[in-house]
Amino acid sequence: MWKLLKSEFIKARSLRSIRLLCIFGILIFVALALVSVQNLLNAKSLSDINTYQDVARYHRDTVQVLWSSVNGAIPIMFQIIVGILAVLLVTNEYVSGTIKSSLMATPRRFKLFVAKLIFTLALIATLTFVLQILAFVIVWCFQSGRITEVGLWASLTQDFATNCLAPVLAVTLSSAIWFGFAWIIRNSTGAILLGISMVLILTALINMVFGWEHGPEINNWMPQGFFDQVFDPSSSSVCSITKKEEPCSDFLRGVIGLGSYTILTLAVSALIFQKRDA
Amino acid sequence: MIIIKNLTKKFGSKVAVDNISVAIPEGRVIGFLGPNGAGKTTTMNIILGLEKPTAGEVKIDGKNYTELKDPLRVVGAIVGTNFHKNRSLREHLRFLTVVAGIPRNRIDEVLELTGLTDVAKKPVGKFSLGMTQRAGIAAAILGEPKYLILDEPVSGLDPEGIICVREFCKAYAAAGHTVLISSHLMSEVEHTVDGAIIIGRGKIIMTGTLKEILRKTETKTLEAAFIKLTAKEVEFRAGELPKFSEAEGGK
Repeated sequence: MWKLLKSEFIKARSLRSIRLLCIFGILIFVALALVSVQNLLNAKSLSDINTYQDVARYHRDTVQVLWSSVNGAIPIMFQIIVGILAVLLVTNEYVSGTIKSSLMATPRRFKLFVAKLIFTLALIATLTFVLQILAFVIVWCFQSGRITEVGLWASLTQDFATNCLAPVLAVTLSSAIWFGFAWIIRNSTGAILLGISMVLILTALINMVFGWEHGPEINNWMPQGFFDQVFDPSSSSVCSITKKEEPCSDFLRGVIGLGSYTILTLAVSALIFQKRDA
Repeated sequence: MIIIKNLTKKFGSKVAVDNISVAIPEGRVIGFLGPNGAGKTTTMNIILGLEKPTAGEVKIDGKNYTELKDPLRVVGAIVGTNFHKNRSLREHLRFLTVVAGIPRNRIDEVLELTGLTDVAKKPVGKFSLGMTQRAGIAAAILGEPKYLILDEPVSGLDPEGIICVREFCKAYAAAGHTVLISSHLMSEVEHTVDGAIIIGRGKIIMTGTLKEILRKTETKTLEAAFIKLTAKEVEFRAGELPKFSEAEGGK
């Protein structure tokens, strides 16, 4: 398995498209993070920003302040970028025909599938984690004084490790679904469209069909609803849906829900990969 | 030895390979010949485990391809394009050596052998057709495999490239290896192979050494034998070409 993981690393690093996508993801993240910081700096007082109220209420950390403060733009943008990364790591092989070389070298297909899955998710988890640290540093640089003013600093840093891992888990599980789409469809455009539909279009469609009364409740059971619960359990949107004052129970529900969608997609894609001709 | 036994492959209602059985002898260059759509590539893909047979089996030294412990050391192959155009040849070979546990210095050896050392760091997409075919050969022989399966290796090559592939195949077989080569260029194949398997509409029409095939078909060249044998098996035939005088308005 180690040999396979190493070969997947060589395949990924040797492609300019993968390298550029990683760089693009980092740049987008940093750009949005700076916009977020700018918004925070422009606020007259901390009470003007809902996310700070959430922080005060739930003692979440500064990383989530940043991630939440641009109304979900960073999570969705970043989710899409790493989703595309997961798709390209698979479909590049089919588009170029390299899958034949891979299968001739590793004829046991399940082994190849697992190796590629582990490598892809490890890459995405690492990338997300590093960017989370970067987000923390950005917030710390620009906002440490104001956070200290209201006496939140101690509680903000206290649970940093735990709270940092929640978004990493959410992004990684979501990317695994995109990864599954790529194996099923074997076409970059199709798999990316399906992924974007899951993230953006499905939510809007459900709201349109079922209205604002039932739409959010149904969306709460969709992959993106679970993603939100895992990504940011303290977000006010989730709390308002569940009518709960304390957010933590939603995290576990989100992990189980998103995990179930992930396992289902991966199982279907692995089965199809086993049966289908290269 | 590669043994194909009662092999059938269907795509929906279309039968691509129809219950073929053949043993490919060792230490020779064997041509795998047939018109377009005869089932050559499908059969090769099944040998390599890339496609699953509807019925029957292929055994390589008594095992399915998927059961081989070090497949790249047993079988090397060129089947269509399997390079990413933006990846360098050296990186492509590198990932294969890592998976197969082949020593890294073997990359330099195969690059030297195929004359691609100087361009190994360039993306394969910038290679000419001849260079791409040689890159395919470099990848195929990376593990010094016992069997070499080449699907249309001379397709689109210039005469120099064709001679290069021909000499390579002969030398590889002379070293005790087996080469299975499919091609449409009968005159070229005749200079390369020791024997041939002729296939049409998924069925084996004839197998044997070159001499046997020419004797049985009462022809003087492999091309003539091939046309005679596959006359009824061509799936898509072009219309008769107009004569020059007719095309030019009877001038």
